[in-house]
Amino acid sequence: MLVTKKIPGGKLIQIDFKVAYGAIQKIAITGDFFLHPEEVLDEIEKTLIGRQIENVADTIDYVLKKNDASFIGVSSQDIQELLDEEHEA
Amino acid sequence: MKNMKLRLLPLQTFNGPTNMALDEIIMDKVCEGSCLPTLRIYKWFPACVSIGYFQGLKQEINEEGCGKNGVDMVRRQTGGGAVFHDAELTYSLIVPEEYFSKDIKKSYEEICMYIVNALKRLGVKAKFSPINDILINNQKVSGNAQTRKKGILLQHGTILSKVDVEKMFSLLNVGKEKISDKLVASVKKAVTSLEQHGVLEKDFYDAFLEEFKEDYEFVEDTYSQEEIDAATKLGKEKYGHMHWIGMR
Repeated sequence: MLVTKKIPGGKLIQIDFKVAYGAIQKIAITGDFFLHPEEVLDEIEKTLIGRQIENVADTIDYVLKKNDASFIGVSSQDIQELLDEEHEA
Repeated sequence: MKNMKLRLLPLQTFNGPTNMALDEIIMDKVCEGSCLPTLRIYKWFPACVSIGYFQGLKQEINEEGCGKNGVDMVRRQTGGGAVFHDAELTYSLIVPEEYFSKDIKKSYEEICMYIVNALKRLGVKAKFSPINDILINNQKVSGNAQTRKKGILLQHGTILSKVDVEKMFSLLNVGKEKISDKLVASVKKAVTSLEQHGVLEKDFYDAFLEEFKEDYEFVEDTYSQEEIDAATKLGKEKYGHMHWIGMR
């Protein structure tokens, strides 16, 4: 499922994901946001595989903290909300 | 930062992959202390579409359109959006991180103010629009993107000299979500250029350098052959290579 949202006051985010039994099976996050350092996005995506969908924001926060990384133009909560909206819909 | 030395690499034209590779090579050199912090100003030939580090190639670029028009494609090392580099000036500022605020959003504004103030010198009222844009009458004239690696800050950005909206949007797949949020009645009204405000590219270039001279002492330089050779190679192997461009 591909979902897209322009975060008000922020950037555009697109998430291509698949969920089975409440767990993330695949996820690819793209968009015109910023993340410093950039390479951390790969680790975020890898770490999310197998996690329950309701734990996405916590998982992202954990990876960000571990790498002293930060998103600009999108937040872990924005990603959680976008997935929740679409998954429940 | 008054009177800090800054290596100035005046306006020169390269292809897209070489331009992006030059940024990386000069970042490494500034990091290891083998060249001064640097400001380079450049153009792109052939015209080129660049996408942000996190963007999906297929979502952003009309590859067929680029092919037909002889337009190059590159993926940048910085985040941000897709840009059609044609009639524009591009700058890259490569300095130690501590030259600007640690807060990245704040540092965007600090660097973008050189552009805003250069336009002011020319009688054009522009404003910084967070996170990384500069607007004239709510129309985008400049987009900027930043990365930080090993203590070195790179910010590069474009200033549109002329705009061919028809061509731009035949090469980019612009999402309707982005347009609607900016409350722009039509795609064509979202962007502007120096030309539309009666500013010559040359005059902007001079004013931009004058703004930097307020804070820095320029050491004018040229690209070394070693830099050009290394960038040509890195450009081909990385920035212009489908492994990198198509990674997302």
